[in-house]
Amino acid sequence: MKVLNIIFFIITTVNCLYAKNLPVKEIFTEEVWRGEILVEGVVAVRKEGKLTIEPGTVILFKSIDIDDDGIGDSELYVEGTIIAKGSKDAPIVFTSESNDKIPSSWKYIMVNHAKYAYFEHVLFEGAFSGLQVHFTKAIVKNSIFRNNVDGFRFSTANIYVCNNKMTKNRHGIRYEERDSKGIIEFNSIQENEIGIFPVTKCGDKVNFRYNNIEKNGYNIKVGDEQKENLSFKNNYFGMIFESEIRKKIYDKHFDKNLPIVNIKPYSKKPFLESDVKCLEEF
Amino acid sequence: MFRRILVSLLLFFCFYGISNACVGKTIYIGHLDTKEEEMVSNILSRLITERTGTSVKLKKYSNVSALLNSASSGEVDLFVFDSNKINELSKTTDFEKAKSDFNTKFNLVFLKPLLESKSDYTVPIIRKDTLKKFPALPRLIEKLNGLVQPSVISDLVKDSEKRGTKDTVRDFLKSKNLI
Amino acid sequence: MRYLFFLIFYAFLVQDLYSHEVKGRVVFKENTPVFGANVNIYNENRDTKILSTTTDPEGYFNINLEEGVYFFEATYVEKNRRFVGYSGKNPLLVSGSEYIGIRLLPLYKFKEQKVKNNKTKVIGQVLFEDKPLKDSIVYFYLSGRDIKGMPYVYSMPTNKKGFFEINDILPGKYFIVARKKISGSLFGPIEEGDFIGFFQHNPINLEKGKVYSIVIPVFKKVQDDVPIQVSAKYKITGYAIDEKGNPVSGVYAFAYKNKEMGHERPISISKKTKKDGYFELPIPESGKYYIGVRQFYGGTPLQGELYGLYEQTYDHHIYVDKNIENIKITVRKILR
Repeated sequence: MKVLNIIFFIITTVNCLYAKNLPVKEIFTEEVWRGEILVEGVVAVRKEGKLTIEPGTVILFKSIDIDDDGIGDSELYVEGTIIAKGSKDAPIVFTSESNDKIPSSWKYIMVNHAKYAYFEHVLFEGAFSGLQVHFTKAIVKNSIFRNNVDGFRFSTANIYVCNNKMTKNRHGIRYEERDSKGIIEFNSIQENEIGIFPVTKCGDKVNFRYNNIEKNGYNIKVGDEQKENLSFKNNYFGMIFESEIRKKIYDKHFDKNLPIVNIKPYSKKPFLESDVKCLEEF
Repeated sequence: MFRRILVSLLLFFCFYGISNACVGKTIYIGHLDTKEEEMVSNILSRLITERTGTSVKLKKYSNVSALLNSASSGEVDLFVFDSNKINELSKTTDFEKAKSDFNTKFNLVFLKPLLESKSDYTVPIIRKDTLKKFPALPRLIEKLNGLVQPSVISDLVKDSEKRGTKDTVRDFLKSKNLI
Repeated sequence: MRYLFFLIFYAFLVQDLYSHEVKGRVVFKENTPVFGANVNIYNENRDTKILSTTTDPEGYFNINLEEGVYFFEATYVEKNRRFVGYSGKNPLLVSGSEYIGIRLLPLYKFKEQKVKNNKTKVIGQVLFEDKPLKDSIVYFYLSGRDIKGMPYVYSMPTNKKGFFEINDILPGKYFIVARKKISGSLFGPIEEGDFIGFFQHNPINLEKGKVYSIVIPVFKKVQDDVPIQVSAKYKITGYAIDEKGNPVSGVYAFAYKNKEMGHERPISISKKTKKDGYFELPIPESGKYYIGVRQFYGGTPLQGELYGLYEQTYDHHIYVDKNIENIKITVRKILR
């Protein structure tokens, strides 16, 4: 028994020490990233810190999984300010260091109780969540979320999300609206397992409109604990007839205990690039 | 003694760190090492993940008491037992008595049986603490009531050997409109 | 098109102005949470029910209300025994996020008897935890709104058997409230340690020529019903401050075992800070705790809520293996 205890002790101590060894880099002042950046472990932008990322910067997250939960541990954690403004020709890339960009290779960009977050022309790929925003005002424009478990995820946030592409994620957009406000418009949410996943506590304070939500396993799927009916008006669902659209919206029509997703009026043709007009100010 | 306390404390914190270090809540489903039980657990897992977004992981056990120990110590949140196992463990064939035994001895709660015929039944069993964290879980699991008969499960097992568990489980749940 | 944008923004604005999240908790007198209690929200005169909800396994409820004055009540039945409870804040003007604590008390019936002299009389007893409460005052109000203003009439202090009497009151509809203020004053807001109780059949219509025998159970106002009491091996003490370094009152410090703070209930909550911003957070055993302060408890923090996290570590933890003193937590309004 004693031997067993000692072995246990060693295992757990090593485990703890190892867990503590997840490298943490903290940013307390202004920092600019350009070129290629390797994130190994946690990079934390603290309250007074400001991280600016220049166009064309490639941020590689090292695939480590110390806690063995199947999700990479490397992450960018922001409580200060982040400005990631790429350009059409030189987007900013957040991706896995390894060659196979499979979902969960790295953890996420977590913007939590932060001062401000701005993302434009950014590619998020191979993460558990490409981008999570909580308790923060954030703008996300002209970006791509690809091959993540959750592409874009938020709760209690003030957000403006315009002209992004969420594709090949398990959930294109996953959210618990809670006390959020905002507009999500002109996005292409295509070829995800679930296009939009309102998990719980969602109302209509975030306005989803003018989005192309199509070719997903379900275009919208309401979480089991969502109670209120939801409204997704003025979006395009890839089909013309309501009966066809309904087949791809998992709500009361599939399970009587779920609320209804109202979709009318819906667009009968997709929104095109020429239709896109993102707000300049939010 | 001191060392033992230290060890268990360390264990506790490490375990805690691990289970929470990531990205939300995880539910652990325990099952015995048979294809049928694994199939039922996979069905539960897929249903819970798809409907609630909570991640679910399976844990395999070689015998009933190991599984039960894990459940009472908090490493397993949810598992499914049939009346044979329960009768043997609680030394009674009385459902109500077994239910109250599990509750008082192990802090485990019987949900509504998934299957019931005469004195035989199959019941999902959940930790009280888990129930507190996921109060809506029983209602979700109830949706499987009557759907996991042995014949159905053995067909699914056969099917999974051809096409893989993931597709089999998904198609089964989709066919019932459950996901 | 511009008009449409305007309309949409206007809609946001209106929603923002008029919908407020009200959270609360229903407990028994031992502070145990009540699962499945009905929470009923009435208009201020308690004659129109506006909506109802039920409490979760931890006794919490959560609703959205438009700006207005409301009367909060909870009811619950256990083993054929009926319980009812009222918020001590009734009637409450909801014009922002609110927290409502409701303590359930057993439901008492009242008796009415005809008398010959054509007068109207009320005899009653004030009880605290089923025992008579001496020196409490019973106030009779003409409307729900008046409860926070002037009563029509009020009793002499109750005697040692908790009894009071109002002779020859004008017939009509009344709201009856019993209070005992520790300061001894007759009026003014209820403070920690004061007793308050609402007659459970408010409003009551007192008829001419009848004697009414009533019971008013009261509860003791605790500091906003702090839900978590832990036996403390250690404590963390410190101050909530604003960005200029001034102390912040009216916030609670909390400790979580979980890094993600919020997926589970906190291990410990302090009392509300007073003017000096000082808090004491009991910690049950040594270990790593994630520390912060917030204005409300229960559920996710809200926009505009005062909130702050311990900033000396990036993930906001403190390793506790002794008393930790004099930490400072900067508080800001969420999303403002």
